[in-house]
Amino acid sequence: MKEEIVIRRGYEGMELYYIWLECIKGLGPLRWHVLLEEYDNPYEIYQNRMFLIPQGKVTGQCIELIKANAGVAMEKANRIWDDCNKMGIHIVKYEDLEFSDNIRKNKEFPILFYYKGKIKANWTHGVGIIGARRCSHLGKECAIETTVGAVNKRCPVVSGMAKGIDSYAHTAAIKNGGYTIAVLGFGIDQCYPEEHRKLKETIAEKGLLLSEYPPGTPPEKFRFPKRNRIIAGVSDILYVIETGKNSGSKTTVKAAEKYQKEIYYKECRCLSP
Amino acid sequence: MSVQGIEGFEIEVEATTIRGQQQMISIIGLGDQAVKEAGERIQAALEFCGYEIPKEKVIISLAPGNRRKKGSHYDLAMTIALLQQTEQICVKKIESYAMIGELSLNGRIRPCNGILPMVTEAKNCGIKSVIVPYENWKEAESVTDIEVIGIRTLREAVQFLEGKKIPLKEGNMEYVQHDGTVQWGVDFSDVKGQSELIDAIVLGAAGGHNVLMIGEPGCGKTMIAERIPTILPLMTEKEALEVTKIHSISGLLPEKHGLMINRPFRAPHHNISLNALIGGGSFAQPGEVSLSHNGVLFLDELAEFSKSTLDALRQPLENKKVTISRVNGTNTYPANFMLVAAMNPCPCGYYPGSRCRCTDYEILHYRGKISGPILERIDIQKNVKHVDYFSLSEEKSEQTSADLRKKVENARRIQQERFKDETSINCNAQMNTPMIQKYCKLDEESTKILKSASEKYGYSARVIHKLIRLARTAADLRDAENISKEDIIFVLNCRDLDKSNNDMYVIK
Repeated sequence: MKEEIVIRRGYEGMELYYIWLECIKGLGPLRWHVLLEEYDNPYEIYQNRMFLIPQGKVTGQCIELIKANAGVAMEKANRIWDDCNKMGIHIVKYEDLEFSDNIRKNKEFPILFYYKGKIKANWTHGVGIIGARRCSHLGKECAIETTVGAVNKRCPVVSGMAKGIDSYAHTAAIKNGGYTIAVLGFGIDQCYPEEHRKLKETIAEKGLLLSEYPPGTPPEKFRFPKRNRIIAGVSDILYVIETGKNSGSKTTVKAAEKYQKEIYYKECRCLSP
Repeated sequence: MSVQGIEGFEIEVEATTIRGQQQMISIIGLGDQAVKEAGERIQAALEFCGYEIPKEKVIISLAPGNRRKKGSHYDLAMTIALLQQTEQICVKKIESYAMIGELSLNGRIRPCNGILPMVTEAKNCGIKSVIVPYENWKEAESVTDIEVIGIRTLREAVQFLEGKKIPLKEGNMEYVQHDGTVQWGVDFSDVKGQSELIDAIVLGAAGGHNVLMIGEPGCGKTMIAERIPTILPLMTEKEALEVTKIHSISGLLPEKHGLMINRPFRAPHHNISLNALIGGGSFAQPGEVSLSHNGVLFLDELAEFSKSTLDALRQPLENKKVTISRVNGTNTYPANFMLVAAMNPCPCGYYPGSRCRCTDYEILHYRGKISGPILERIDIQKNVKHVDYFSLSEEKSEQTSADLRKKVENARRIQQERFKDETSINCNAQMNTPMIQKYCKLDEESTKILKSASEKYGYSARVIHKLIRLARTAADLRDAENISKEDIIFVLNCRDLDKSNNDMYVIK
């Protein structure tokens, strides 16, 4: 039964096999990328899963994991695939996107992204605007000003749809007729924080919602720092507005340094206590 | 006498003895547990007072037999009926007396709730004389044209009924005359540095508009709300009777207390249940909305009230009464109150100060907890300013409650005159659209200001109607015939929440 579905989809539903590869327990971004380098595509891996032998950087342990978990992962992948179709969530493959060599050599990115909204040609060359969730009024002004500047240069505005600076960046981009990308730390069907529901809908309509997590993934705190590397990845320039000592923005900054992006700090806190 | 809802009803008590049966007391007439237990109390009290307990079966009937009766205040009447039946006492014209009171085991009479509605009903039934517990004497006395006797013990009651001795009041039970000398203990002159807000409050009180105060913690929202009853017009005798009745049923009247002459001020905590607010319980008792009838219902931290509780306020705000249906009957209570609410401007409470770190989305989400229909019934939304304590002491004393009340009373008088031909409306807040067109003529300049303001803030037609109603009250406060430019400017300042919501930088 399961086999039938798979065969029917074949090459047309190649994304399904990407999802399958991501669903295999025990494998992470590094091994996904290594596997894809050795074999042409995940469909090949799936079809020949019983006959795989260690070659190149693919280890025996990795093959064992594929053999052991292939069935369970396929079930899961089918479920996600159906959910995506139902909810109008689309999938874009990592290999189809323009990323700089700095990102490619790090092999930290997922092999596919889930998205909702419009994909524009220059979307991986955005302006990242990130900062404190508990920002001051000055920080808000600053975020709006920076966003308007980016919108005027026709750059996509990238942020994380969190409270505070992130929300103002998205809002300002939409209000000024710009294009904005929200990189989410949870499935695209979820919403966090709750009050941003309307904002999320508007971004889906006029901009782009992007997530590495399949629909149904709940917002959990360890995922937010992880998604920050994607914010850094899809921005050419990063503005950091009002960050605290243990701010989540630090992970974005670190990733941006690694990918050799331009980073600007904007401190607006000096005027407020 | 008994009570159901806010109205009393008459209960006839009959007692008889049946020979040749086991000695017992049986009470019939759909009584609750308290009524059933009356038998034991009566036996003990008879024994203590030296009366004889009949050897036969005693049947006491509370008529009409098809209405439910609750409470312990039938004890006295049942005892007297029993004594009369067994010929231990001899009372002439016993049917012309009504008796209310609970017996204690040693023959003392204890006070009970709901005296006022019962005595009022007794008067309507043509009863000449009512015997009530001594503690309830004053409350019962507020009903005129009926003889009221307060008694302390069963023996006193018997002595009175047999015409031997009339119980006397003690000296300290002087009746406070309803002459307008109301003592509040609080006064608006205590409030400093909030003159703009006080003007808005006076406006609300004068036109029957509900008020929402928005301000940071500790800026005086509660202090001002407590003082609002002091500027409302004094209650008429009829209003005072209504208020006292409701409090009497709920058992909230202090002992040895007469008519309530102060307007009630109720401030339920925000975790109040729907039933406690509207009314409920197995006997459909009045809730906070009825207890604040003719007074002020103050809801502090409006955003913390549960949504369903607030939504339940819609109907009483509209109809000025609530009907509660329960197993033991359906009661309608009046609920004509002025709603005064207070809330913080944002989740942390300090917006727009620099301490506030709430995002605009959070702030709107927080304000969105109050449902639209409730906000719609609140005409005045006013910010409470932050006050600087140290500069306050230098400020001159503000207007006193008495001054403000004069203004309010004057404005109310104008409104009564205006609406004397209209049915079911007595203040500006209740005006509907045709009435607004009829009574609220705007000159050209005012219309222009109103128009530009509503364009700026995107006011809907409904908000504009509200503003015109408020402007009408503002003109009444000035004793002016027509609404002027100043009135419009003044009332435009009474929609702070709308303005603040418009300033939010969000996607709506």
